[in-house]
Amino acid sequence: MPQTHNKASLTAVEYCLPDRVLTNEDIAAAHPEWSVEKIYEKTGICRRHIAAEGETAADLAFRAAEALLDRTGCPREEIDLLVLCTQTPDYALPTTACVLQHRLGLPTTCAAFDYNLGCSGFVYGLAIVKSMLEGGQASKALLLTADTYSKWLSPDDKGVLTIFGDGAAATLVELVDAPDSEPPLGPFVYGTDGGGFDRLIVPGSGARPIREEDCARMGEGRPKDRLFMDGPEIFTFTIRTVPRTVKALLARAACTLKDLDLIVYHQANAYILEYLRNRSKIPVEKFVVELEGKGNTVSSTIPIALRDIEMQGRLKPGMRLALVAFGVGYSWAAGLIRWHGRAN
Amino acid sequence: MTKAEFIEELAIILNEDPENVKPETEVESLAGWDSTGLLGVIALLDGDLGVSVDVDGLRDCRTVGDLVDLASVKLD
Repeated sequence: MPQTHNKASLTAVEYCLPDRVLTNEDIAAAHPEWSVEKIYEKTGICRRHIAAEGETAADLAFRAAEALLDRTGCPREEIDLLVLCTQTPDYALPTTACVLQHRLGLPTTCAAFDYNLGCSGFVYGLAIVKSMLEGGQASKALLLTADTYSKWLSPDDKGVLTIFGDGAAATLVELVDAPDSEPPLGPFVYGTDGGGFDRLIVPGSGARPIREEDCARMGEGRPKDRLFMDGPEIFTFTIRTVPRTVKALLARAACTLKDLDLIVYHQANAYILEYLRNRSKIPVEKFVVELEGKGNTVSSTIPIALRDIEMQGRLKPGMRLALVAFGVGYSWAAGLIRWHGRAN
Repeated sequence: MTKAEFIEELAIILNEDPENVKPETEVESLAGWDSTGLLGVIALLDGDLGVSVDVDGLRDCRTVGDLVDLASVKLD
């Protein structure tokens, strides 16, 4: 007997960016040794949105979720799972997802939790939510990704200032009818190398005190409690890991690049994306680069890009996509999705 | 890629006139030798030459000749 509503599917995405904008002109004015052109050439980014003082990732996630619920008309009482990916929660405790359950007016029967991942977070979130929905633990999920790395940045560190932007995305995942041969989400592959933990880190941001040996790499004279990024190490990690991960995903899915309509990588920066695209021989027309006006919004880059290309008409129902996410941890994950696309 | 071509590529990546870049040139004296310049050098070593890059080893390079040594097994 055929089952109905048996597969989890990503059916809609909305996102929210804070109002304040930091342009390349703003950065070049504060750091005259870098020109507007050089910043663009090195990053592919023109501007980033920066949260206002007192405005948090949870505020952005709230607004993205409200926009999603408004547009889809999804009744709040039907949401029984709320998952938030963030590295800039409102509090060490309580869990920000709990605060958002109440703010969003979701039922008290709704499961809610945060998980702490950075750039790999969206793909992880889809996999977690899929497992819970298809395992009968929930039926309709709101997956939120939200970060305000700007709160961690030193105004003197132009390397990270040029790259990161604040933002949040809200993704609706629901059970739909789909044959076993065409799952809307998956397969997924994952990877972790905590040996790189100190290459992208905010020392002193948790319970562990800042230790001198952790700071040895950071160089003299820089504030130790701000975000530290070792760009060359991150780049080397990325160019080693991502092509292998894509190969592993294609092998797991028993398909090739030809079988995919679009490939969406974590929008780290345009330089890395172009390098990776070349390395894996992905045709330009299948490769998504959407970060010029937003920068690297950490766990939200992929859902933001999905919504952008949907609105441009580039992303259409039935398309098969690979999502590939990598970064802080080091942590990475990749998965296939079939775009459902709600009528509204 | 020959040794001379490699040095010329390095010069382009690091925003220097190739005429001014010699094996004895100190990397710290090159205009583009900063974190973004390093990404270009890593891309050259990894992508064009297939050399597995060790970032610490790269940071230990004092001269252009040291960089050539990193690439030497893959140079003609």
